[in-house]
Amino acid sequence: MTNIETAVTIGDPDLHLEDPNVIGRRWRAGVALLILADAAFVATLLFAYFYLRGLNTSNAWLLHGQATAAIWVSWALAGGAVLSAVIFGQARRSIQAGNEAGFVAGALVALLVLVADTVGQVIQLTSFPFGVASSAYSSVVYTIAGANLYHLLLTIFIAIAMWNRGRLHIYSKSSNWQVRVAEMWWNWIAIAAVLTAFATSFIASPASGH
Amino acid sequence: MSEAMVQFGGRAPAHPVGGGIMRRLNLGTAVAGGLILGYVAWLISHHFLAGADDPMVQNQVVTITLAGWAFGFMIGIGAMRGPICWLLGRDQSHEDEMFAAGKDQGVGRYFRFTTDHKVVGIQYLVLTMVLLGIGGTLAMMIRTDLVTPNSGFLGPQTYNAVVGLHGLTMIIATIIMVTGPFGNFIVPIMIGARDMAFPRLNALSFWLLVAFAPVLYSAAFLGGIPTGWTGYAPLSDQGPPGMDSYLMAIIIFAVSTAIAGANITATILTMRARGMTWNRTPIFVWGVLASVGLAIPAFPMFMGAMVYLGMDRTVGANFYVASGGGNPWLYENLFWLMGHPEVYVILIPAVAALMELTTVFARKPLFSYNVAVLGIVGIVGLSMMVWAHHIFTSGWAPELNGAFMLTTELISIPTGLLFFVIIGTIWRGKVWTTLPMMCTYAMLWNFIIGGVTGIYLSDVPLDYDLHGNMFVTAHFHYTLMGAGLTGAIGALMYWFPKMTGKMLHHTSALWSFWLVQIGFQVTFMGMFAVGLAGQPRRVEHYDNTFAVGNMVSTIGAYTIGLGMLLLLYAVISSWRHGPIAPANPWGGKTLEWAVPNPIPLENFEVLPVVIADPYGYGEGDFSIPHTSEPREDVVVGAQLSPAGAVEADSS
Repeated sequence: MTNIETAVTIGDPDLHLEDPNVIGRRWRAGVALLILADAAFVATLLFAYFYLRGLNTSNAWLLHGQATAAIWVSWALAGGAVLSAVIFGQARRSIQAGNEAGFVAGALVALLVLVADTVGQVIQLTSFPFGVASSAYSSVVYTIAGANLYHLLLTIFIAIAMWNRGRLHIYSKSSNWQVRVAEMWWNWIAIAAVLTAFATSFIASPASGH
Repeated sequence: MSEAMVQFGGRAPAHPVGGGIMRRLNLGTAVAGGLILGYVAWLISHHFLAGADDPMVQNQVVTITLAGWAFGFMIGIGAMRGPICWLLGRDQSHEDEMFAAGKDQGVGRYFRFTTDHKVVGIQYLVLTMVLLGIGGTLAMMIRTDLVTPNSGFLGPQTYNAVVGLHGLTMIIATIIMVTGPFGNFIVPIMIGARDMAFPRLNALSFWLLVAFAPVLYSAAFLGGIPTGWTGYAPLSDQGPPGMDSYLMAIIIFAVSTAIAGANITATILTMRARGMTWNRTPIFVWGVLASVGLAIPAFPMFMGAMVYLGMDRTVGANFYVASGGGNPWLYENLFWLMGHPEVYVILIPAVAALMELTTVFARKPLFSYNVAVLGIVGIVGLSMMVWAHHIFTSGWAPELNGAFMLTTELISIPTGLLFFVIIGTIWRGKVWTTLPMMCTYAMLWNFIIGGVTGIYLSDVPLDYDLHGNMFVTAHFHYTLMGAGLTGAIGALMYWFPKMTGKMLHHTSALWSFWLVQIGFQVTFMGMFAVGLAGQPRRVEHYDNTFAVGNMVSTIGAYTIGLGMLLLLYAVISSWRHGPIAPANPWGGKTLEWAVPNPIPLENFEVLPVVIADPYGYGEGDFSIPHTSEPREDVVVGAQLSPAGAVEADSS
């Protein structure tokens, strides 16, 4: 018998057992594909940013004298996302080593960092020194910030579940594939935050004098 | 220990969860939830957003209301139950899983958030037929309006709205028409799996589409979609609130498609039966994989374009507004980055279904299986590099026109490979000319015309002449309807006995086939003629010069409509009263023909082991599938009875 698929029927004819590793591999494939879809959306955001910046239509990518978003804030928020992903990665290593308490503590800290990052994202969104309609630049920056907020909120949901399920001893050294799947998504939103922070660091259009 | 316990982490719940009201959720509660939350959203937005006469505020109210409907509908159908239970650590018991799969629930399971892939496949089939019915009715209205140069049947504004709704409805219907019903119902069985990789996501992707439909058709009451299905900016920026329905519908559809694409792809990648190597995988599975794999990156781009449109319309952003630094070319690029791969999202699985059934009815192995796979892969690769041929006339990057003309013409090579595979399979075969096989012949004819006229349109100078007229309309109908829909009808006729357990009524289906195909040629040959003569598309009134061609097209369209009604009658009457189908009426060798009718809830009691390619016709008795290995593995084995049913072998 291989580990490709086990198919043992016990009592109930509709009850079939599967190796958790098989299920985990299937979930990792599925989540990787969903990340691909989300990555296509993020790529669309980056494309819009650089395309409109490059065209500078009507010389209105960024209006003359218009204030711009503080670059360091985007990088700080990206740093928060990376930090939470790193902490969660450490928590995953804990559960794989059989340290359930370490996992619960790590997941909680990662969750708290994520919440702080989300608060920071909301503050950034509500305090941009321009309106969404000010220019093409401001429109794209608002949308990117909104997409990052969406990522963070979704990951907070997952983080709460990770912490709660860890607290309920659902995960163990031998059964932790969900933690690995969650980590994939977590890493992706950190990468997306870095990519968007990097993109929005290039503000002035190469097609304009300002 | 239950499967659910393993799936959700290893701890068996103390008591089954999800009883009570959660088990009573169905389509009725979904509609009620949608209406309540939609109304609440309307009430709140209407109350708090100042300036009811401001078009931007109207757009905000419409968008928030439609989002409320969609959320309420999904809550009402029970889509949120799984994630919330997971968050709370209340994993589902085996009994809950069986309830979710619709075990022993009769017809009611088709109106619930049911996870069984066969139920979802049937749900998709019915939804596809409903969408095609709506789109077809809108097409009849268009052709009735165009029967004479100034019929006045619809009027210019209504005509534009009807054209937009017809186009979008048909595009959505054709995108889901093969991968939805057959990708869900047939593919898991064909690869020897018990269900999809993610059954809940499967149900989620379907019910999102049900939530999507009222959002789209609300456009009819909100000023319509005057832009055509493409929704080009800046016209869509300035359009009536119907455009908010359009963009919200597309966003919901894109989410549904991405989820379905990830689910089907993961199923095929990770759940194929033991021994089903890639070169033993049925060609239809390859076709579905290519289609959904292409959709995963393509539709989020479309969603991005819609988010930007929504931002422009509701908060005055400047994505497509040139005076604010935006640019309509951004929309056109994002739209066609989805739009052209989408053509192959529709075509590839339809053609693959016909390749699949051609081997069965020609009683020959698929001619050059590897070339067929190469053709599919080649189309997928090139389809991402041809989008700009749709915007030659827009003035975007004219220096790239030559390159895009070349890539577009190159794509005819892998497409041609698929033709050769089908013709090579038929060649010198002992062809059993059934109705599905006739669909193969019809597809070859139609797709040749659609493909060759596509090469004309890829030629930049000619495209400048033809792009804005009815020639293009005829071309893409030959491709999407003549090839795509014909392939889907062939697939329906082929798998109908397996999906319903009944044989399709032959005579009425045969009449339907001829009426549709003859009507189709009449309609769109007429359209080619008026297009070449210069009749512009998407224009209600036309010059008397085009009167005869349009009259011919309208007669043809009504013939198609009659044929489609006959097909609908054949499907419904056969489903209800048709003769019982044997498990393997065509003598197919793929795994779906190895399971009995009706198909057990989990398809295979013991998972099969594949020992040969699925097209070994001419090797022994073709009436018995030879894809499972009897008595080879004491645990994972299957023995095939002469009737084709898989029997457990656990000796």
